Amino acid sequence: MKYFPLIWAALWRRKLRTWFTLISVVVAFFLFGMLQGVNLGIDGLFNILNTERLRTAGRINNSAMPLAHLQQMRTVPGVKSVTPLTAINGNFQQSGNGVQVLGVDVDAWFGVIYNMFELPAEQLAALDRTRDGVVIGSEIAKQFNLHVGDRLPLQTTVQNKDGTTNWNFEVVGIYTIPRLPQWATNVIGHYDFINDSRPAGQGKDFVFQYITRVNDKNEYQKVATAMDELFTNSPFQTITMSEEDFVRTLLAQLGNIAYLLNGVVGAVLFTLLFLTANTMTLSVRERIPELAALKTIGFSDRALLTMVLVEVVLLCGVAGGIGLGISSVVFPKLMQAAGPQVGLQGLRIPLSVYEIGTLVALALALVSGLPPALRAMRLNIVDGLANR
Amino acid sequence: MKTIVELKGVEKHYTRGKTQVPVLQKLDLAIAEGEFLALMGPSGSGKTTLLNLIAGLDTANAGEITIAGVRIDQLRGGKLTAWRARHIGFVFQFYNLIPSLTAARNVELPLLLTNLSASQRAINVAAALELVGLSDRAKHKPSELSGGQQQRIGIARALIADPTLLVCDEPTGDLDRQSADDILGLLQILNREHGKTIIMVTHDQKAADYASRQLHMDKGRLIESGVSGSKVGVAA
Repeated sequence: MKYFPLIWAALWRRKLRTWFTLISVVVAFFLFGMLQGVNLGIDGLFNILNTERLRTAGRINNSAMPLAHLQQMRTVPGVKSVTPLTAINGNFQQSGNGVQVLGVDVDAWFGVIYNMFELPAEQLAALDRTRDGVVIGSEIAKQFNLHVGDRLPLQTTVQNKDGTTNWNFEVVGIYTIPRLPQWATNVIGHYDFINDSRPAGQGKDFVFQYITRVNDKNEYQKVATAMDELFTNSPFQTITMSEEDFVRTLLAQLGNIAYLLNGVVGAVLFTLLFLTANTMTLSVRERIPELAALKTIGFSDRALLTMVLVEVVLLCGVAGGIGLGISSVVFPKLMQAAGPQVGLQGLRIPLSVYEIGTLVALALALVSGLPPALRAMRLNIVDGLANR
Repeated sequence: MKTIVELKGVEKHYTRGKTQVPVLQKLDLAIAEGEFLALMGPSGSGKTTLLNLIAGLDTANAGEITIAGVRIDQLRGGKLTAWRARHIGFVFQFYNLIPSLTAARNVELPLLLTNLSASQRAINVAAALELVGLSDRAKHKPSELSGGQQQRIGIARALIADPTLLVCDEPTGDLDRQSADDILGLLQILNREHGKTIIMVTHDQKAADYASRQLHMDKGRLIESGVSGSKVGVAA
């Protein structure tokens, strides 16, 4: 600790250069945080997805399916519960305040299929008796300062049977997901209300997806096949897969983008390695007579090695921490801004990203700092004093 | 008086390509405790090399170097470094202060290698700065000080750990006459009033005149010695 002023002074010997290096490292770790946040965040999401729930979509381009499928699907052996799913995307109060209302069978949803969603019994009862009622996730409630009893008017592009594209709901409850509180970002209402409010020919009696809960998750494949076979000869063929596979398929494209961006971050970090190494080499080179003087005074070879390494660890550690810190603030806002259609509002940078980031910063510091640190350690005093 | 520095048959050569360039040849020297010795000679005569050997900054190819009873030619690596920290105070021609540290922090550097507490270090730093007459410049960075003041800071840094030997390599080589006289006067006070043994390399006869003894070197040999005294008391 008593060497800290000496190390700190050395770090800020050339302020402008240190600032530039610091900013480079901050930007690199900001990118690292953002992209690894998406990658590892989505990986973490799979921990709560499983094969107990199935998603059924139109086989061709995820096209809508008739509501009539519902009764047939309920007859498939192994099915515990099925809900139709429709969605309305709109803006609350102003553009940019994107909200997605999911129309479902609320009893099936809260009672069986997504029973990890927690909703007080009286609020579920209120939802049951209120046709235009919705329950909102605690995150949405926080975001828009909504409370039970508030109205939720939305401007959408979906035709309402009153001839407008405005939809109006009443907030009757607020749900939470204790295991993953940040994912409580949906607005959930009645399929029947939304369906009845659509004019004919505007998606009425059609379903975007069916979500099924099976009795035995080990039998999900059998159930999925049986469901799809029901509609083999229908003009509305279906494809059913586990929720986990479904989300993986959906994210496959995003995964490829992430792979590309990971490459970019890799390249940035690799370049940063040389940038930092160059900065430290220059810094040590400039300080040769000073380092020789320190050795003359009695600072050991190991002390100089350690001081140079600590200097670069400090630089990379502080800058990396700032970069990751900024990403932790920006990331949720960016996910929010991406809108409910993307469905990643609840995504947060997992703790593992910070842990990996810390290790990367440390490795960057050690790899880039070691050559100049070794040079300082091996410095011959007489040559150093002569600045040779 | 007790001999504090003793060199016997010391040789030093540098290798340039395939050629060995002799710098010091079978050199014998004894310096008594409390002496103020000036080493003079033309460039390349070996005086700085001799100073570096005495200070433990370089190693001899042959011969014995004994400082305060310790054969430093037999010390290597960490032991030599530790010995240097305890026994040598080095004053450089170009001061070699850390530019980003204040004067006080520069003076404190040797004490970082000791077990003194921060408050004790601060007391010692204040005393050293007072000794060199720069108490009011403690918070200044080297760039805010004149050359003479920087060298005083360099001397304070060399003295602060109370070394056995004060070794000065052209301490006035980068200073104007007035500043040089001030520095030499200070060294003389340290020698006379505080009993410091000082070895100083210089090109400058006027500087050498402040010393109590002068040695001349040429082509790696000590060729002449004399007792100075013409400047005695002038700067005191």
